[in-house]
Amino acid sequence: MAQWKLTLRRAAFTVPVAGPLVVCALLYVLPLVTWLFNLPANHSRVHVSRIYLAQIGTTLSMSLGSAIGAALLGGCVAFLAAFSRPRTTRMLAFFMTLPLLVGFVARNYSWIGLLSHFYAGPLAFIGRLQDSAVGVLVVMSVVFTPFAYFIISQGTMRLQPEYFASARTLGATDARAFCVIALPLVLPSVGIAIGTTFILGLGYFITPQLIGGGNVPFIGNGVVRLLNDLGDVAAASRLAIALLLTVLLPIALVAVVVYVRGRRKTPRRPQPAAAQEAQA
Amino acid sequence: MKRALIVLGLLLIFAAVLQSAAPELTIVSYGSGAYQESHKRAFVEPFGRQTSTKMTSLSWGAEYGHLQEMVRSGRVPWNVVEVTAAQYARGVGEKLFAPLTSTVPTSTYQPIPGSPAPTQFGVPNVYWSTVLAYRSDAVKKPRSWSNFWDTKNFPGPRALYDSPRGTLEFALLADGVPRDRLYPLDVNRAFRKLNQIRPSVRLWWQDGTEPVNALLTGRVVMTPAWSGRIFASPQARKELRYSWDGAAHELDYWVIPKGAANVPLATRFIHFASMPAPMAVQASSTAYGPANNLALAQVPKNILPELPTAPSNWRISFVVDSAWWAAHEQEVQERWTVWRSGS
Repeated sequence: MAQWKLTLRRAAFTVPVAGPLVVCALLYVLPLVTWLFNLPANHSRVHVSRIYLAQIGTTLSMSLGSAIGAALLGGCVAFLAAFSRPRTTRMLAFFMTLPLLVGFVARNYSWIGLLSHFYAGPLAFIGRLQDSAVGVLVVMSVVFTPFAYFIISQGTMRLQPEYFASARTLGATDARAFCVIALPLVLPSVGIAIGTTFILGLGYFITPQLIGGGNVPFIGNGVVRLLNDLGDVAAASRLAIALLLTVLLPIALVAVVVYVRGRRKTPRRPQPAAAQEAQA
Repeated sequence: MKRALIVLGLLLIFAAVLQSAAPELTIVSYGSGAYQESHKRAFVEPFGRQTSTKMTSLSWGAEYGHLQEMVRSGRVPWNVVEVTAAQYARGVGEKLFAPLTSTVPTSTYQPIPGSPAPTQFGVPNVYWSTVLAYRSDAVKKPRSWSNFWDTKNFPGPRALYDSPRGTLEFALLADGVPRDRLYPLDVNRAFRKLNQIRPSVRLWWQDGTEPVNALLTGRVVMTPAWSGRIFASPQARKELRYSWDGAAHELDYWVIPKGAANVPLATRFIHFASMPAPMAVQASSTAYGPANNLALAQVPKNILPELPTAPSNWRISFVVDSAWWAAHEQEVQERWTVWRSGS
């Protein structure tokens, strides 16, 4: 009876979530599958779809790279803020908010303006960041830094000076205290920061175009091209769906792994008191 | 208090009735910013004052699917729309436009030599152009597209429009094809010629602000650019030079989407916007080329040399054949995508 009730309760949670998911899956996946099967055996078509695969690859790797870069930059600032006086912390938070107040395209153009000061001379390699993948990576990392900072500072806020004081009295070096106390407390927020900024990066197309000069096409650029140059809304949405699927698959995998591990780790729930008494 | 509220409510209703009684027109220009502003100043506001019409000026990015859906759904809030020549041809074929209630009189509108005449479905409005723009402090004055391809005598990074449209034509001109024998385009020959310049192309632009910006910052020394965008930026007008030799022109049309309200008034607006005086006003503020020959006479002498349709420029340039592109765009774009990815 209790088992049945549990199943019912689980179903009550599952159905509202699973229902829309199934509908979404049908609406998103079916057109893609029909598209894949309808692809004509045209040489150039095959080429084109290979190009889109390459664009998806660029999108995924560049987004991940810039997410990690942003987490590094934002993480450093967050740690600095955590170990500073309140006034410095507030100043850092202010400077992190500042870029968010400036329009996104304007920030891209200001990067172009900045980089264009270095076309000649010993620092010419900085100017050459333009029209290259490294340049896109740098600019995207910096653009994402405020987001990473705000998320990671949620983790660094949990660091209390007493933790380090007690570690020191127990004989730990600063480095060891950092590795054993600070990192484990902050790492989950670093993970969230990377995940969030990674997802932000997937939809990017302005920075790859303006900084990358058309040499680093993301899948977003492919979508824009299909919409603007060819007016092919259907193909553009198929491309967007292809990206969605390639992102959903790893996320689903991670979700399954986390779920399975979680089930193995958590001990069985203790039986309700009433049931124990009845057994006794 | 209560009475005051009732009176206020009645007044509001009265105002709303008055508002809806006044005729309304929504005019949609292709492109925002300075271009839409020039439409407002030259056409929309004067016409609204003359006819006591409540005018709304909007802009769109010429996404054909948008217009198509609007007409299909039957809810058409736009009265007059500016479309590209290719969209005009396609839209006439797909019966997307309402016929004007009367054609534009020849007394006020005469097409530029070689330019199409107004029809019952649309009136040619302006020509806009892609010219060869360059930094005069970084390269010698290029005279033609073959100079653009000549990286020995004209060294420095280039930019190209990231689209085959117009770009293939420039490649063929550089390869020695005469202007009047460009179409039908020899696509293979164009791509062979493009292979030569590819290593020197640093930036592949998609938006018209990019090439102007890249020239101003020195990111590139030479690029095709939209002449109107150079004209719109005071700094670019001062610092950049461009050549009309082999420039590519594209034409826009005024149309009335099928299902739009008040076609007679919309027709009157199109007539007004096709008259020499307002067209000259618009041309003077944007340097887009009026398709009406009579308008050129009213353009100030200092602006005239910057218009695509000025006789001296018109003679040495060409019009992009929108019919050829309509028939081949899909296939050539695909080939372009493959070529750009390096395979």
